[in-house]
Amino acid sequence: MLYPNDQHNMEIYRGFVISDAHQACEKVRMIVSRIEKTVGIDSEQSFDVRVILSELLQNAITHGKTSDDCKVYMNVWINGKDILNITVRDKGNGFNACKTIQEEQNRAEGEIPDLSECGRGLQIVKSLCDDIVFNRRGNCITVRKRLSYPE
Amino acid sequence: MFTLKLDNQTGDKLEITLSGEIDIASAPEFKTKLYDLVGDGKKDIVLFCDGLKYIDSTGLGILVGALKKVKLHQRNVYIYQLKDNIKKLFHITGLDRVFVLEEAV
Repeated sequence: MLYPNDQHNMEIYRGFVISDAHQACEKVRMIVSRIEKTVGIDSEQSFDVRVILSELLQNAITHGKTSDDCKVYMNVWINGKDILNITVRDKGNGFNACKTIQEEQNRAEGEIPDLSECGRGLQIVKSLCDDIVFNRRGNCITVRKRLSYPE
Repeated sequence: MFTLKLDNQTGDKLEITLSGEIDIASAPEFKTKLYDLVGDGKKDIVLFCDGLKYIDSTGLGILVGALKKVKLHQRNVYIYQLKDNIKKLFHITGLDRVFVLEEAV
């Protein structure tokens, strides 16, 4: 099993993010900086983590807009020394995540080049992470990514 | 933040240097500036991206929008010198088969 236990959790961030683009970007940069300081990842992984956080937040902000309360809950922690966990939950009605990811994947791999201007975020997240889990409603996602450290 | 600089303009080609970071906060401005330069899409677009440090799916979507404009006139978007981590995003999304990606100028 890839993630044997939840011992030795290091909390990086837990709280709400207001669904404003500038504030969301600032929050993402702050979280990436905390991860860099906590576990010392290299610049390539910092880039990947920033993309993952940004895509998850964008997704939550987009799908959570149906609610009056547009805050998005985010929990970021590291367990087992090198497993980065990110949970993002919005208050929207959710969506069929598996179907969406499959559609994005099909478009990327299809013979006819896809020229949609949106709908690539989850596909990127899935590719950059080791594990991705949605709740049944489709408004809460948890991803895991194994980090490696410079020798 | 990002910078978008028109380096050269000929009868059939626009050469643009793109640098900095394009995230969801800067994406609306990037879209406006890029589409202003692309105009009606009758010229090839050459993007020099040596200094581009960050872009995500929102920025990629804006580049696709520019591509669609020029494709209407049988033109193309050529992207030079992408950093490896950004090139990886093009590969994941299949956009490496949509744009012309070039290593060296």
